[in-house]
Amino acid sequence: VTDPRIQSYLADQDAHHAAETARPGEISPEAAKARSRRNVAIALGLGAFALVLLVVTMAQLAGQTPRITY
Amino acid sequence: MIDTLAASSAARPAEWRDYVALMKPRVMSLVVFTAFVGLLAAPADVNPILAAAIVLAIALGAGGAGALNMAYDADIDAVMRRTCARPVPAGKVSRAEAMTFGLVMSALAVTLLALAGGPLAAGLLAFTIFFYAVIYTMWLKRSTAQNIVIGGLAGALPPAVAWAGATGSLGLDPALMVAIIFFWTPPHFWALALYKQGDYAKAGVPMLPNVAGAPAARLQILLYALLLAPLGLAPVATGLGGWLYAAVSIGLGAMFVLLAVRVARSRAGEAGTDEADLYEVKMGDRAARDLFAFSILYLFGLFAALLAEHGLGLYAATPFVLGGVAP
Repeated sequence: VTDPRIQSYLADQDAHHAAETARPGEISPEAAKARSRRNVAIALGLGAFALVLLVVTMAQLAGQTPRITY
Repeated sequence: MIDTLAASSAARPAEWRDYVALMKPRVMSLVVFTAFVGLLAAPADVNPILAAAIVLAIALGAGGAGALNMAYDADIDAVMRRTCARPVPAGKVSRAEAMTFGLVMSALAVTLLALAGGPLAAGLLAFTIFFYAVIYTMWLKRSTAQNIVIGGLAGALPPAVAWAGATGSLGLDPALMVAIIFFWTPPHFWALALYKQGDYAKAGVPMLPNVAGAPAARLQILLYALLLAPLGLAPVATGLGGWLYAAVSIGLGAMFVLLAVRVARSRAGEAGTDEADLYEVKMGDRAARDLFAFSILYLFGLFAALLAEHGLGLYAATPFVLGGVAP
């Protein structure tokens, strides 16, 4: 695809996002809110992933540990 | 169009929905469904927690690959009516963000699958993501009319990934499930490409109808349908599919061939459909649209039959299992 308008549009979008990332103090309140929501979502996602890894590890260990009978 | 997109992107920053959209949820749902069936059909007693983790990992992997595809294909998506509203061309998510999101999701998916399903499944998932994001998206899609034939392998592998996660090995049955999806992919996408030719041409994607012409594409669709219908019955011969699967496969397979014959006898791809809606076509392209819609039902039906047999206890062996190939 060589349409210069498309390439220029996408380049503008990237520049816009780069500027937003480089100068956090200058972003609009709406963009700041959206970023904050994204940060919370990332934190929750990582926390959930860590929890899933823990649960899977426990399940694997339970399957491999011989039961001790008294 | 670009002005409209710019206006819409300026109106709203990225939200969680945009990241969900990056993962191609419709494609992901089919991937998860076929993987789930592969997991259930595998001859292994899997801990439900591990089974859920295996399916989750495959879903994350599919989502990651989808995001990588959207990041790379932003230029193509921006000029196609069907895809111009996706998060990257719409300006809601930058290409760098989509790429990062895809890489992180892929890494998490492979890590989780290594832990829950073992190294074979994890390696196969990593290969699948690589094949889709690099071999198909970056190379084949823009360079050959056989793009979706070879690239279709990525979409076909999930049942084998799940099978490997459940059993730690592979065999003829998962290979058959892969083969069914692999041979289903070309007639499915070429039927779509027949009535979306204008879109693909604008984007410069060399789909078969654009490169070889509509008549050649219609013939190829019929040939693949003639291959697919008997292949869809093959699981009966290995014992993977029972009576229910056999009945569903014969019925849907016959219908698939009939619709492919209808496409071959039609002038589909020559009506000049340019509608934005996925299923809206001009009169002459109806045969292609009908086959495209039915092909989704076909694949869903086959795997739903396996799901009912192996997940709901409806399996009843047929006398057609060949000696030496039963699982």
